Amino acid sequence: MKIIQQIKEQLNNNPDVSERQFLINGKKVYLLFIKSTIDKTLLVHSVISPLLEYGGEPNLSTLSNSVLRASEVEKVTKDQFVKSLLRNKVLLFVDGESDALAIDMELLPVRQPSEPPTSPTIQGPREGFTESVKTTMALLRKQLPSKHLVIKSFFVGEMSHTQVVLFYMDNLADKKIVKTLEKKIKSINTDIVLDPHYLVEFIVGRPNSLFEQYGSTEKPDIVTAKLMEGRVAIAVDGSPIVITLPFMVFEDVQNSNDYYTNSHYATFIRYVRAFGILMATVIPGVYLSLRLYHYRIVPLKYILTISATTQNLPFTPFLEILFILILFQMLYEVSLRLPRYLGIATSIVGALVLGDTGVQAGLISPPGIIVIALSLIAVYTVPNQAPQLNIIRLVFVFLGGTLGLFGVVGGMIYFVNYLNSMDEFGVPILAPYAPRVENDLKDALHKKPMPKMKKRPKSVKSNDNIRGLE
Amino acid sequence: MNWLRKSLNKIKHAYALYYFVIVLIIFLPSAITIPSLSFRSAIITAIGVDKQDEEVMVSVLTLSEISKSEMRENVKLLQGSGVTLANAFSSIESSIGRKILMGHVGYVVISEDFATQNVAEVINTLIIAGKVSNTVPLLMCEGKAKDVLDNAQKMEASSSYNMREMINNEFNETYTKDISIDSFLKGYYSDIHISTLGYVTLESQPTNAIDSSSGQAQGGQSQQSSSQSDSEQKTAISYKTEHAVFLNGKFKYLFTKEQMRGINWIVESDLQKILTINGISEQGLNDASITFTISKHSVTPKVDFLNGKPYVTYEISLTMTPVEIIEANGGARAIKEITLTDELKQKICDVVKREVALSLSVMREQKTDVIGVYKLLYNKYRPFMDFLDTLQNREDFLNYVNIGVDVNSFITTN
Amino acid sequence: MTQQISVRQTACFCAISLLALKLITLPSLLVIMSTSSAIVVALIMFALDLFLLYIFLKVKEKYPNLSLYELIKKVFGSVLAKIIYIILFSFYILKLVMLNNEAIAYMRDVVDEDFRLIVYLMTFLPVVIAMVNSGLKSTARTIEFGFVFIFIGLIFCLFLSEVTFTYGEMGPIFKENILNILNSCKDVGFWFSDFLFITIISDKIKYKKNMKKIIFSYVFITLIILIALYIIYFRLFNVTAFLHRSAIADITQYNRNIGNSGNIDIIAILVYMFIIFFQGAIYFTGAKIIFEKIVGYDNKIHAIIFITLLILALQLFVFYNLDLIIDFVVNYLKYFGVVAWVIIPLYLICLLIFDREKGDELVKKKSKQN
Repeated sequence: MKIIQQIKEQLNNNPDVSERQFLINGKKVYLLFIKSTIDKTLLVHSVISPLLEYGGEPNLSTLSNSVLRASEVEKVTKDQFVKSLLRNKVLLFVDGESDALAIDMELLPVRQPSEPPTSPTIQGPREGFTESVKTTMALLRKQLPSKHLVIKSFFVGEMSHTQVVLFYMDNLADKKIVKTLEKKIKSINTDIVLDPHYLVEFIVGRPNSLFEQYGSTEKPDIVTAKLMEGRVAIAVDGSPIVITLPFMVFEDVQNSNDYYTNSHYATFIRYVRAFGILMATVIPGVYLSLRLYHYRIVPLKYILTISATTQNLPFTPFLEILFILILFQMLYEVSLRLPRYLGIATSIVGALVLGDTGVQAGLISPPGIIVIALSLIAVYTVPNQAPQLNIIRLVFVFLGGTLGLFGVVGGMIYFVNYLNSMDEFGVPILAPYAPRVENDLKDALHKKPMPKMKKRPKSVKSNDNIRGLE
Repeated sequence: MNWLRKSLNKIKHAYALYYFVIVLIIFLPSAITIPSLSFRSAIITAIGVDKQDEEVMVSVLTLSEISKSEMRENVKLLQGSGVTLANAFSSIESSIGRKILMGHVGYVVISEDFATQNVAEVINTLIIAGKVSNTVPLLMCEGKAKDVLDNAQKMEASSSYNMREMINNEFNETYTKDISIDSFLKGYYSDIHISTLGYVTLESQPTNAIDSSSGQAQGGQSQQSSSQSDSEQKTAISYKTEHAVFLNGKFKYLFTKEQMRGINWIVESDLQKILTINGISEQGLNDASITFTISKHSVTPKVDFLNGKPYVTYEISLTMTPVEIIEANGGARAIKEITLTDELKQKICDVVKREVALSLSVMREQKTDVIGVYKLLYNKYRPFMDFLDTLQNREDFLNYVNIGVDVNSFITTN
Repeated sequence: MTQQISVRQTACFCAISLLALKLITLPSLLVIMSTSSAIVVALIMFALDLFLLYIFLKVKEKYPNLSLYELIKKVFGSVLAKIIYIILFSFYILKLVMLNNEAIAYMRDVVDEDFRLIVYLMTFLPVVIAMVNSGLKSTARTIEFGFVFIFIGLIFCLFLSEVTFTYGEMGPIFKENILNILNSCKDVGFWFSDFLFITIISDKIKYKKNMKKIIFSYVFITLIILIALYIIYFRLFNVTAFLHRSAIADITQYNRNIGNSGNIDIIAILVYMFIIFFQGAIYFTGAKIIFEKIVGYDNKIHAIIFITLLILALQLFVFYNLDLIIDFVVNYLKYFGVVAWVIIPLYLICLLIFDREKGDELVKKKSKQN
């Protein structure tokens, strides 16, 4: 059939584009498919066998309504042939008819849902999203079998035609936010979308900002909880990450483990994480400023200890801190990228080199290592903010080294003020602390037991504030 | 102009980043090359001020380079002299090529020679220019302040004892009155201009008497273990609860340990721990001495004006425990048999009154109100001002104030 | 983002304004001027400030959408309103310069003896400008966010010093006669009257029924802490107050027991550094709003540039020393204090009593005319 040749040429005569021809009651019937993306067993069982058994006059309507045993069959016109084929459907042509049937036979290699490596749970659900957006939809449906769950699908990317799916609860989410997001997604003009992070820079108000303006997770229970607070979730086919909007910074201090354990412990551990943020960013800068400028604040015994361990170093304090920081960052990057068995060896070598030999050789000092190591460990109390915290730490090191403690405090106030000026979708990013929202404080740093959280967070505008009875 | 507009637009959207870069350009070169503050400055832990001819000689203990394996303090003694204190410090800075930082000074010692001039000006210089903390102890020494610091340095070099810590920890146990710079200045700037400093001496001791590991006894002596040969005399810093009294910032006289006892009763201090009453011949005792430890000592001053004359009564309440009874023949008695009879109470009262009277007589003779009678009377402002107006010489007021002592004593056996 | 701030944020503004210029030089100045009656002077000024705050909040209740400018313009026209605002503008600029000088003196006393003016200006001005540039709402949120730390830090400072409260050591507090006390009140007026900021941003505060209660509760608690600090200061440094020019620093360092391990006044240092930035932002915002009213148009950038240049000029060439500005303020500015202390409050009281027309009606009239 001529059209089939044309389609094959459009697809560069790729070897995985296959054609199958049948003669049914004197009429030719053609199948066209990309063999690497379909379930061949299902094809034989649901399409080929019924066709071969069919004895009547083949036409698209009869075949669609009465013969084929596929779950999804759609009639497509000429302009949709290539698109449908590229969306892993099998095209069925009947000689003499200009249209075709697109039959869903997709079987792509996908992972089984497993625990996401970035959010391990001690006690609680361990399922995580996979790269298939269908799995994402299935997992969310499983958590939320509600008529109010709305799923809207878009295709974004000129070349990739990636499926982007929007989730929200229509009785909870702010319609204005949903409309805005839909509009922004539809207006995205790019060639490829591989991950939600490709999208967010088109969606958020300040794409150049250092700080994230969206939440991200790989866990269905977290997305479900956020949908129930009136947020909107966006999933992208090909990535297990789901982003949620609107976003507040204190979401990253929370963890799913907090909801599966005692609320007092959850409160305690959230404060530890918040302290971890402070330690991760500010401590190296403060240490540097104290060593360079502010001896009066440091007790005499500490001055002695630090002087004793830092005498005769070839580096000035500033260079020493920068050197250790860069070394630790390199070690971290190396350990991420190497295979596990090599990573362990590298870690040992790195630790020995940095921890012991460097000190003994008089290149670096133990207090410097301790400060930087503590800071680096503290970053991972809030892993979602790790990239930002690493950069902010560097800024504070420079501020502490140049402008002293006053510069560090000024930097802190600047960053807090900058966050306060971010009002993505009308939700203050530092809520519920700035502005203070009394109701939301029950589940911010402090966590009250579930029976006390009768209302949804007021910071996220929702149509129904009361949890529970409809 | 277009490129200027475009550049300004770019800057407008990322002005914080550009500003940060400017800060780095201005400050980073010096920040990268600057060594640690403890290496480019000399941190002083003690100051001694002497008079040498007509100049001021300053001795300081500074932190010095120490080996990595030893984490304790090591200090070096430096000296400088000049016409003023500031000149003296400046000469020290020139000699070591580093700026002096006084934020961690632990104590200041002034020699008796130097104390004949107005010390307050020196102290003001230290506080205002040197930023020495006002809670730093201020001491006067008998000989040279330099020798005291030298002794302290040797002690710190040879042991883990540290004079700064000892003074700060022990001053409550050693000195009745607050001996900080702040209290000195409060006295100097008050209406009566009386201040007190702690007093230290250097005592030579035979080598047999010194145990280099004995350390510090309460209100006693600090020892040094030196590298000198055993046959030489060793000196030790001794503080015996004596106070140097200053009037208008100049040294006037010394309150000895015995004279301080009376003051210790009136000023609610923890120093009066022991009381011995002699000549007890009751309760089956024959001319015995009973020693009590005082577990609680409180003083309530009462002020009254009668016919324009001030009356100050110190009501002293003592809770004591008898710990030792020694009879004239040397025998000891069991403590639980002692009860507080009227006679015993009277004897206790007499002892306290006698000691207080001794201190008062010194104060009246020297016209120095060390115990704060003026401050007490000042709270009854109007009658007190009227009383002062009746005096020919206000400095003499202590002679015209009736000061009495009432002692209530209690015995516990616990 | 609409530029209206909440009542709680207003309360935080009031509390920070109460603290800012009162933690460093003022206690020492009070003792120098009024010796043992210093606490009386302080209490009188605080009481006056509270009374003024009450008036300002009553005015806000009656005219929820009008700022001070509109209220003055209502009766006296825009010329007089601008004159009053010019005086207030100079107040705010001088308060900023005073804040800078106090902060530098504090830094040199406590943090770093070689603390340089350029380091201070290059840190303070950009942060404050960034806060002002991002708008009143985000400045208010930032201050609200940091307020808890300041509050807890101040309480900690109270307990850092070594104090035994024996009555009698403070001396007779009414030693000075009433005329001297009132004179001292007049001399130190510049350090007070910070609640005037409420009237300037009155149209930007969201009206809420119990706003008086919320604001007064914040102000009272902060005032109690401040008075406690003052009492501790007067108790510790009665005759030597002139030597202790950084009150909060000297109070927190007055502790012999920590002498061996060193000062732990880093909390006081951090608290005061936060207060400097927050109060600087409040003054700068006030100056900016006033400037916009004076020139008659809203251009943030022009206002910020003008105010920054003015502050730099005054800081570098005129008041480069704390004593210079204290001298100027005590000797000359007290006469202008009449505007803040007498004229504006009197006028507002008269408006409250005699003006039967409500503020909302005025706004409707205006819109009808337009």
